[in-house]
Amino acid sequence: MVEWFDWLLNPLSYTFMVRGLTAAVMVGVVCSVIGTYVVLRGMAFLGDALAHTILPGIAVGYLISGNSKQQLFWWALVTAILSAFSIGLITKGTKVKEDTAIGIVFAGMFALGIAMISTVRSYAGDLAHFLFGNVLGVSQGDLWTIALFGGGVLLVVLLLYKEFLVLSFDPILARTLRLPVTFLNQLLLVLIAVSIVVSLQTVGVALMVAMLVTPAATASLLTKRMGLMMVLSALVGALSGVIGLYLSFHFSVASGAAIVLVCTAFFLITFLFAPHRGKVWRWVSAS
Amino acid sequence: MSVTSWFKKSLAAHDMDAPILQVNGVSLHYETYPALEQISFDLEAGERIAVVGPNGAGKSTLFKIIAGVLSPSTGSIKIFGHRPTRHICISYVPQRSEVDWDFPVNVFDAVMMGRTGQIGFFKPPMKSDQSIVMESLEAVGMQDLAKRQVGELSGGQQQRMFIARTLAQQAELVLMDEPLTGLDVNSQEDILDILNMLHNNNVTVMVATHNLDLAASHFDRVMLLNNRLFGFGKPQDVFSDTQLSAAYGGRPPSQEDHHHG
Repeated sequence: MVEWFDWLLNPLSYTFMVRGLTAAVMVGVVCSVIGTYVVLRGMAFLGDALAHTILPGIAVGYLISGNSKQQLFWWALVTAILSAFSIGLITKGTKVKEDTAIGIVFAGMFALGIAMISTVRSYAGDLAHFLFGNVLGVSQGDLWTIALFGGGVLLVVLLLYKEFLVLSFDPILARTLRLPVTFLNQLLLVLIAVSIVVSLQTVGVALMVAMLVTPAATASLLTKRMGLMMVLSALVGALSGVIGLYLSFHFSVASGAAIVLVCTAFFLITFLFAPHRGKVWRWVSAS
Repeated sequence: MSVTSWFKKSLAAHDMDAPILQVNGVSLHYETYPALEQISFDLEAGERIAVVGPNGAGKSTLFKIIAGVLSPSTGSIKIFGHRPTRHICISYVPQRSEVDWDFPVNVFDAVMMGRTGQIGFFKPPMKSDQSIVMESLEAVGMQDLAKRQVGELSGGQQQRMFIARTLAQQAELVLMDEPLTGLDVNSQEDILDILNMLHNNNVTVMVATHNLDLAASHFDRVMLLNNRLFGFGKPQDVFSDTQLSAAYGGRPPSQEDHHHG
């Protein structure tokens, strides 16, 4: 019993762990809520692409202002929003198929980012942070940034909940109700972009799509109401952040990877054992 | 000025002297949709119209143009004297095969979506919206299924749910894309009864269908469409052998109410 308390409380005596946990919970909630739309509208590939296209922006910031995190945040944010708009344009009238176009742009941008960062001699460590996150390096200032922008994303989702619901379920209904469909679609991309940027420090570019998709997919196996799905998704995201960081602390595993692995475990357990929709449940009720 | 009042102001007042729908020389040439050539007709309020024609005739495309979802290449649409994009009184009911039935909403939520325009931005539905939704569900006999997830409904129930959504929207022009396709005879009868109820409430209904018998027996006028208008009028005038074989390109139209892909 005492060992368990130690296991839980010991990490909390380190400031970096407390900050890391706070960041992981906030990021878990924001990504999982916006991820509900990513899952329901089949935008997983797009979300992954969006995360990767940020890299050249970070690279430019890195070359200009060094490893100042506050500066890098703004570089990442501007690039993400620009990418969100250009992806919005690509998905409109191009001759190339949509997912092909996104693939071309995202791989190209990602390569450009790596190329730029690699011109700096001691780049390997910093590049790893961008790719895989460094949640234990989160500062007090970073926490405020995450809270402000993450809170903003959640506020917009709350205010436009019913409009986004109509747009996701029946885009033609959204048009006949004369909702500003183009604006809302673009806004959703921007919200995803902002969520990605605030999450960069926790899981990094490479694993971002897991935070967007896995908690929401887990929740979709547990409920058939949109609002409840968001709440459950947020819960899975936040819990994964906390459990992942503890595992990272005790077993010296990379924090971003640990968080994503916990998410994946949640999904697998739900996939197998969820009431009604789980594989095992179906198998048992079929026999 | 709030966003909502700005939004409401951008909508057109109904010019009651104008017909509910005027279609003037509408053509569409766009590679992803069937073409439409010089379609013109007027509808009176409360009419029941069946639109028949082979697959790829442009029935859905015509409906989407009328609903203001697609813009025609040439020609114009007027709803009560104004462009369709300035009205929220038009309802388009999609083919069931085009809907993601796994989407996490129940029947009540889905019908409430019809109220989104009236509720306005940044606001949750009010008590009055909830009672309108329940009344709409009662009107189609679905009040006991309000909590049901949309994917757990039968085909006929899914179609009735969409009609309830149309009622909640308080639509005056309803465009239904093959609502009878894939339903058993009893469910078809239910839908046709509900269409009569809409007719009695002076709601104008256009229904795309493959079923010529039902089109002839349950609708005021029928429209024979295959990229252009092959006939529009009383069923006995339009459904002549010569007109039918002209519209269907010499092949006899299938009387089966079949799915099209």
